[in-house]
Amino acid sequence: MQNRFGLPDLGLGLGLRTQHYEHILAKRPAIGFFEIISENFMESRGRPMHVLERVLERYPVVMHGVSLSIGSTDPLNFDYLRKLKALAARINAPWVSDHLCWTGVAGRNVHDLLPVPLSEDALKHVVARIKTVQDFLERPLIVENPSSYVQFTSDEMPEWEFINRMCEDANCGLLLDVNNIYVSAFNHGFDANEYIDAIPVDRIVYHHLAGHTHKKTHILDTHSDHVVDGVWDLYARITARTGGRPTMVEWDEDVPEFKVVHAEIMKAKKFREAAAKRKEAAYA
Amino acid sequence: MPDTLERLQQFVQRYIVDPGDEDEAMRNASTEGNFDGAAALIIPNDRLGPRERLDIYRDQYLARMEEALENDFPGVCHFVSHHTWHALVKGYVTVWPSCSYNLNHLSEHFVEYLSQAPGLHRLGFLTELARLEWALCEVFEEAVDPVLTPAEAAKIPPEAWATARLIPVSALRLVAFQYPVSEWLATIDDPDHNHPPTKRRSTWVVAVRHNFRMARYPLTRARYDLLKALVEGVPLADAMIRISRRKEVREGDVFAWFQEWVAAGMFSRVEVA
Repeated sequence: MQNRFGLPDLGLGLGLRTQHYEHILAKRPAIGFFEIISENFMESRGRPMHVLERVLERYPVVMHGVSLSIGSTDPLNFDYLRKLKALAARINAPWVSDHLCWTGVAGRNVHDLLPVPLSEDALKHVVARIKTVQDFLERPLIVENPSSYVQFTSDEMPEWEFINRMCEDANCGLLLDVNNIYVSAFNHGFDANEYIDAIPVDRIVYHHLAGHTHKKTHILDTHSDHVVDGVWDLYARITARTGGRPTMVEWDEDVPEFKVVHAEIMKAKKFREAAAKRKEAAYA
Repeated sequence: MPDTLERLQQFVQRYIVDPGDEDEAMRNASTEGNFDGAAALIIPNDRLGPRERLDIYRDQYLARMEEALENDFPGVCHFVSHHTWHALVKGYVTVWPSCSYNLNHLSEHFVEYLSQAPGLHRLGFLTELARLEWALCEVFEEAVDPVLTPAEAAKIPPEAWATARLIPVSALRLVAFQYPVSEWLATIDDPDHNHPPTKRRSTWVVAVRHNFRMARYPLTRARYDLLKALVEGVPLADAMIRISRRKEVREGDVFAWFQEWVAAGMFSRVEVA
């Protein structure tokens, strides 16, 4: 099943990180797409934009933001949105994503992905803002499920219900981060399989996978290690439902050499192939 | 906009960014959001209480700010103790918090803040070191310009040089210091911590990015003055006359310097009158 927005299956991808610039330009590795952090290129005049332009000659590049702050009670920043839209047009981005979170209020940015309460009020607020952003960008916004460390007393529904209703009411796409489900399931004590099974697959545009840091009392979403088996299990479960969606590994701390990150994302191949075979068998 | 959501966000942000200890931060956050402590907002689990769960964000906030500033000011971070760096960053982000979607802007006021920081040992040296590191940040981020090549410079007719103006590339900063901060910065990765003396001494440095590589070159006073005149748009002939009157400049020096600077990618083009 394709996503309902008709956005392409770009296969397996990786984040475009400065540590790998020279390797990517010199070796032109076999990879389906790269993902950039939008904010790092919205004002870039130096090497990052130069590298991005060369990468674009060979690969599709999707945009992933960290400062849209869709859940904030501050007004939307239209200067930011103008720059975001201009960059998307300049690089012909297949899609633009950001997080279900807020990053600050009163004009500040704490540069963290802070969770919104899972309440009716917050849902209404987020949906209205996604619609405004989509109208402005003239494209669907792809929203990522968060990892979080707190639950609020004002929560009124499980996260998957909030996500489903947000997607439906705002008619937005979903970036399903499988590691985030794993992290939040441990931190909040819910069943990750129940979450996976409740997600409407036609809303899923792509997946994030990542490593994390287990602190015993909680798991930190650090993007600093290999993807753990438990996350691969969840990925297999969602891929069996979707038949395979574009997928990328995020590795942002203690970034190893490119071949390590590349090998990590290639592990996803077997799950996608197995899902494709099942799909073929179902139609045979 | 839901009032409770707005108050919740004010509470959470205030607790995360408050520079006081946890108790003080909680009091301030509770007042700001009009909530009766973390338990009014955050559900505990079987491992962590409401405030401990919120502390995860509070701890990460300062760690992220420290990391961002250390990226831009590794020398200052290296010079001071860990404890001092921590306090410096905490004080800085309280006065100059990030208000941009891009964390790269966080450092913009750091030199100014540092220059007035109370109680810091060797403040004069540290401020100059920060000024150099900020200049390097600016050079790194500047736009990509065309670069005047030695071959292009050689094609300019000799008579045209009399009135020619050299246009520097955007990614160039020329800085004068009262301390040998560039020499000191060059040694921060020395495994034996062999650093040059930090005694007051005038030094001059040009930082430039060429072919996406950062470089900085020490200058003599004469070289600095000539390059400064050129960067400010003084025609080459006038700048050379000024400098050639100095007794420390020998015949042929200026031409050799000019060749070095062109080869280092310091100029974008020549404007001939």
